[in-house]
This record gives sequence, structure tokens and C-alpha cells, in this order.
Amino acid sequence: MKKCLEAGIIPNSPEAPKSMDEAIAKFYPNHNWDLRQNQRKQAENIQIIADGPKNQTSLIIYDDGEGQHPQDFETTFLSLLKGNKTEIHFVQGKFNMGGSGSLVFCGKYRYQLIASKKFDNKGEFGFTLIRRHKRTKEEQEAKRHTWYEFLKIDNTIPSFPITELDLNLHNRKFITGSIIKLYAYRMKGITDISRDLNLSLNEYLFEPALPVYTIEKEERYPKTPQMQRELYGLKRRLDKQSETYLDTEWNFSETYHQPGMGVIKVTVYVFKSRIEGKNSKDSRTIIRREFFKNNMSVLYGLNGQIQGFDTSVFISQSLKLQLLKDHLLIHVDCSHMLPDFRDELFMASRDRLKDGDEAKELKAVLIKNLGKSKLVDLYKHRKDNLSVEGEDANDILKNIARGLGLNKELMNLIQQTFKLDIPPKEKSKEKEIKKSGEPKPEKEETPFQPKRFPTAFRMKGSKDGSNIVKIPENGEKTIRFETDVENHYFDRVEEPGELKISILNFTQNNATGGTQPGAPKEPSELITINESSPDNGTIKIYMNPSGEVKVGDAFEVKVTLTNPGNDFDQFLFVKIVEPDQPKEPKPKEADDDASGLPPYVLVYHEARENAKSFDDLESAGISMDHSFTMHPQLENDKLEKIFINMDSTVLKSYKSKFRTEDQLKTADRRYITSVYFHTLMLFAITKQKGYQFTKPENGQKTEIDLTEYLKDVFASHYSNFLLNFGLEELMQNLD
Amino acid sequence: MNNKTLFFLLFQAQTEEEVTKIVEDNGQIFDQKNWFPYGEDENYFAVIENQQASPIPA
Repeated sequence: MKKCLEAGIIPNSPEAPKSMDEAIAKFYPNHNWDLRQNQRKQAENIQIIADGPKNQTSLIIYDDGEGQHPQDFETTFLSLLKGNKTEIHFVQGKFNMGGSGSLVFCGKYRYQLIASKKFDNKGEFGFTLIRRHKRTKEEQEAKRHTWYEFLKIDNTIPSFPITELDLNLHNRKFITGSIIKLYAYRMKGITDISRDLNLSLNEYLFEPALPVYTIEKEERYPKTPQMQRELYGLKRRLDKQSETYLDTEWNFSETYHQPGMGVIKVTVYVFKSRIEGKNSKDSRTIIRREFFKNNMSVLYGLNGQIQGFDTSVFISQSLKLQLLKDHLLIHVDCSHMLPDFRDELFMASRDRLKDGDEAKELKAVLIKNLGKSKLVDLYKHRKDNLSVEGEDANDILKNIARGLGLNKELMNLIQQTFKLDIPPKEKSKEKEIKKSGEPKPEKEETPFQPKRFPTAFRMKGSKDGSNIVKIPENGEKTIRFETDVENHYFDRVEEPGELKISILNFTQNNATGGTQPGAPKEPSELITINESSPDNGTIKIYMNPSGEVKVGDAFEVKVTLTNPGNDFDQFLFVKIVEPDQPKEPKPKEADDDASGLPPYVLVYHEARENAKSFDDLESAGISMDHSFTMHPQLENDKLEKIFINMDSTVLKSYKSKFRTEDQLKTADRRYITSVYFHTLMLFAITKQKGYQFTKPENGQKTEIDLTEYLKDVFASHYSNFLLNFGLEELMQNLD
Repeated sequence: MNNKTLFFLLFQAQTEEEVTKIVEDNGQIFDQKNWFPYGEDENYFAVIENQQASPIPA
């Protein structure tokens, strides 16, 4: 705002920028804030400073922005719902609610000090104190609730002239701008402001327009190694620290042009299952601490700021990617959605999406598209590490399952959850042989040599340079383009590129027979188009025309891959043809994997035949060490496998009582049977009853999924109890 | 007390108890007649209280 006013542009005039990005480009050309020195200099303009004792932290927020004259306080800082920014497109907030949202967290008395001087340096420095009114006895009887109030002296906002003020800001004196002090600001889990608040704010400011400083004070934390830290958003942090934390080859982005919804860009960051020198449990803890302080796995952003989120439960339950639930961060950029749709998504609280049809529709689009994205290959890749060759476990299970028939009610419960009619194993082996057949000779592939900027871009399989695409009515088509640019091109912080798609001409084969050129339309009005980020030299575009598009209709699509100074254009001529003949449905083969009891897989510290090692599980991002008893692997809400830890402390300690080989074998069997069937029963009951779980974390209720719950129950002495206290022992204690 | 002194007293207060003490010790300045409803309406209390669920996005 300050820069806009300084440039002599009225913020709500047609000359003013239409978006945050445009404003930055216009008012800060060639800023290069990715250079640390420049970033620090700019960050000095917005500072968040800790004050007060450690057990009652106050925050001082300084903004070298527009500022306000004392006489304007009541129509700006102290007004609510006035909406004096509704016509300004390049700012956050519209309804003058910004400062008031924090009042609730200002201690018992809700004190907030606001001070400001207008950027033109003409008026005085004004200030006021806000508090929650303390009602008198009479007021308590007469009024249902209290209210917030602010101070004026002699009916005027107090003020005094200044040239500059020493307010202990970092590297500068206060001249103009605004200062807000939030007394006794309650922030659970945040102590060191320069670090903890920085990390936490970073998650909410995914890609802020301007860098910010978070500043701690030496007298509060003398041992803190760094008192000032810049904050420039999670996107930049991920970019900068990608080598340490991210499995970069799996990162990708997709852009969906969705009719009725607008343009949605989804960026997926994949975290390593193990960071260097750490096991998966420690890696998970570090990654959660560094990047998931607020438990946000799916971030819904608007103009770089997060306005709603979903937890990892969305990944495990909606995307059905249980193995990846702690290793994915998904950013959904809603900035280019259609305004009417977007307005129905977000709440003022910025903690979740509205529980409306629009949010459901958006999530359905995410589930559908991510369900056929690169995540499918990633999931398969990580899951493949967990398969075992031997099938001995299933034979033992069949025997035990027969034994279960003794108890009818128990059988009913298990049968409702698992199908127990296991088909003969031989069939599946035959199927596997048929499927695999003769091994195909491996193609020799030339390694992909990515370039920072593209030097080529063309449609794959195009003949003589003419790009004709035929899409069956009510059908879909995926078109592939060849390029040589690096995978990260669309998502990197510095000099990113993009793919632009526009429909140039649409000719409709209407009822009167002739073809008539129509007006150019946005792709999102006509056709669903999804585009993916480059993946080792391939960019994919998926097209799915809406029901309005009929046989004979045709349109031209321009696809541009941006490149500094020399964009690459490709023109596609899309024709809608007769729908494909429906394929004969294949006779359904008996899927033995989908029925019967889930197999168990034994896990040992070291690698063994027909078993898995701790390392195998850790590589797939599953925490496994001596402290765990088991790990239930869920797939699409189905218990697929139960990993049983044969090197658990519980089993070692139980076996220490026995000497002979027979005793030790029996102990192993008792352990396997107990863990297996107790897991099965707990899973069956929980699923049948539809229980959901939360656990306290940093003073807040955190949703946890069934895997985590079961694993934790067994790790928390439950298995010890199962092994050491049989029914007989318990009965003896009753005597 | 002039406005500049008052500002610095409030700005340098380290705790909310210190702010309360400043308010109580300067009864004339902080007299109830000098306090005005935020947003010009006492009923905005619920709007403010219900706006944010968490202190960080606030």
C-alpha cells in the first residue's frame, strides 16, 4: 500500500496492480530477495519482536508500511467489517479484521497497544490501548456479554510529534509505519520467537509477498545462537533445504483447469523416509518438528498465505496412501480459482475449509487427480520394499483360522471384516506365471540430461509437425510433450517457468449443419485440462471435454512453455470424434489377495530369508526398532499385512525365562499368535464400530489414524501384558 | 503526564499486570469515559472472540 501510494497510484484505481504478484513486480522490480543480504535488508521493514518475561511473552509487530494519522485510527485500525480494502486486489484482508483476530490471545485482559505514523511523515504519532472491558456488577446484570474498548483522551486519539523514536527495533529507529504490541500473547509450544514462531509462521505464510524478521531477545534466551531470523515462507525453506529433507525426484506439481472451479495448482513435496544419519523414527520426528509444527499436511493457500488445511488423515484415508501419510506436504494454490467458488471455501479462522459443497467438490478433484498421479508410482515403489517371497505365514494362518471356527460370534465378527474363504494358493501361482511370461529384453535408455531452461518442446508422436488430437465424445485423452528442462522448473523459487494453455478457436458442429467460429474461451469453461510438471523430459496434458462438447466440434489449443526471451509454442488441433465402442468387460479373475485373513510378515533386526529387516521397513518410512512390537499395514482401509517384530524388547525379555529350544519355539509361537490375533480383533472391532482417534499433542487434540493407534497400543506394554498374563495367571490372582 | 511519557510507559510494560497497574495508577487518563467500544459497537465482542481458533494464523 505504501509503495502504491508513494508511486501516486490510488490503490483501488484501474492503474493499481490486480494481484499480489503484480504488485511485487511493479513496486519491487529486480528485488532479488533470494540473495540473503537483500532479503535481510527488506525483512527489516516487517519485524516481529519478543518482549517480556519468558513465561508471559509479548509480541511487538513493526511494519514500515502505510501507517495512519491519529484522526484515521477509528476508520482503520479500530473499525471492524468496514470492508475498506474490498476494492484493493493486491492486499491480504478485506474487512478490517486483521488486528482484531489476535486480541483473543492477549492474556487475561486482552491488552493491545496500537501506534502509528502515516508514511507521508506529515501528521503526529498516534497511539491507543485496547482492552476487554471489565464489567461492573450492574453491567453484569444488565448486559449479556462484555465488549472490547479503546482509549481516547479528551475524545481524541492521543498523539505527539516525532522525528524518530527508539523502540528497540532491529537495525533502525521508528520513523513512520505502525507498531502493535500484543501483551502476554498465548502461543502453545512456542518459546524462542526467532526459531519456534518463525517455523510456525512459515507454515502459514507459504509464499509471502515480503520477507519478515522474527527476533528474540538476549535477556530472554541468552543461549539462543541466533537472535534474528528471516522468514520468507515454507516454499523457499523447502527449496533451500530440499537436499536434506526431500526425495526430490518424486516432487511434482499439477495444474487443474476445472470447469466451474477455475485453475488450481497442486504442488506435492515428498519427504525422505530417512534423512542422512537418522532412522525413520527420528527422521519423522525431525521432519514433523521442522515442517509440520501445526499438523498441516494439505495446505489450501490464497496469494501465498494458508487459509485452510487438512491433516495427514486426508493422505491416509482420502488418498489411501497410508505409507506416505507422514511424508507428503501438498500445497493447493487457490489464488486463481473463480472468485465465487473461492469465496465459499475459506473461513476467517484460516484453520479449515468451510464444510460446504465447494470444499467437498475441491477435495473430490484432488482425490481423483492425485489418485492417478506420480504418487501412485511412488506408493508402489515404497510398498514393493515390503513384499516377501515366502508364503509360509499364510499356511500357518489357515490352520489357526480353522481353530477360530469354534467360536461362532468371533467368526462372525472376523468374517464381516475379512473374507475367510481363501482360494487355493496354486491358482495364484499359475496366474503369476501367466502374467509375467517370458521376460522382456530391457530397453537401453539414455540417461536424461536436464537443463535449467528448456531448449526444446514438442508434442510426442506428432507427424510432420501437425499436432492433431482426436478425443472421443465424453472421453478423455492424455497428450505427452517432450522437453529437456529439469523436473523442478514449474515449482522452483528462482526463475520458475510455466505452461500456459489457451483455446484459440472453437468451432461447433451445430444443429443447422454449418460450422461457425466462436469467441475464444478460457479452457476452464469448456474442458477439464490437467497439466503436470516435467517428469524426466515429459510434460503431460490430460483433456476431458465437458458434456457440452459434441462429435464434430473442434478447437485449437495453444500450449506455451515459457522460457526467458524465447517461449515455446505448440498448437494442437483437437477434434471430437465418435465415442469408443464400450469394451467387453473382462471376466473377473478371482483375486486371492483381496480375500482371506491378512498375512503376517516377520521382521528381524538383520535381514533373513522370507522375512523383512528393520532397514527394509525404515526405507519405506515405517518406524521399526526394538521398542515396537508390530506394524499394521493398511491399504484402502483394509488390513493388508501385519509386520511382527521378532527382535522386539518384549519378546526378548519374555524369552529370557526359557532355556530349551522347544520352550523358545513355543514362546515365539505364542508371541506371533497373540500379536497377530489381537491386532486382527482390535482392527475388526474398531473398523466395525467406526471409532476415530485423537491424542493430546502440544496441548491440542491431534487426530491419529488406526495404524498409529494400534502400533502405539502394542508398543505401550500391551504386548507385554498379553505374553505375561494369560487367563490362568489372572485367575490365580483372583484366589 | 504527557502523551509521549504515557506511550513509553505502556510500550515498555513487560507484563499485562504492569499495564493494569499503569491503568489503575492513572485514573484520570484511564477513566471509563475515555474508553470507546471497538468497532463502535459493543456487540462486536462475539465477532472478535470467534474470529480465530489459533494464535499463529491470527
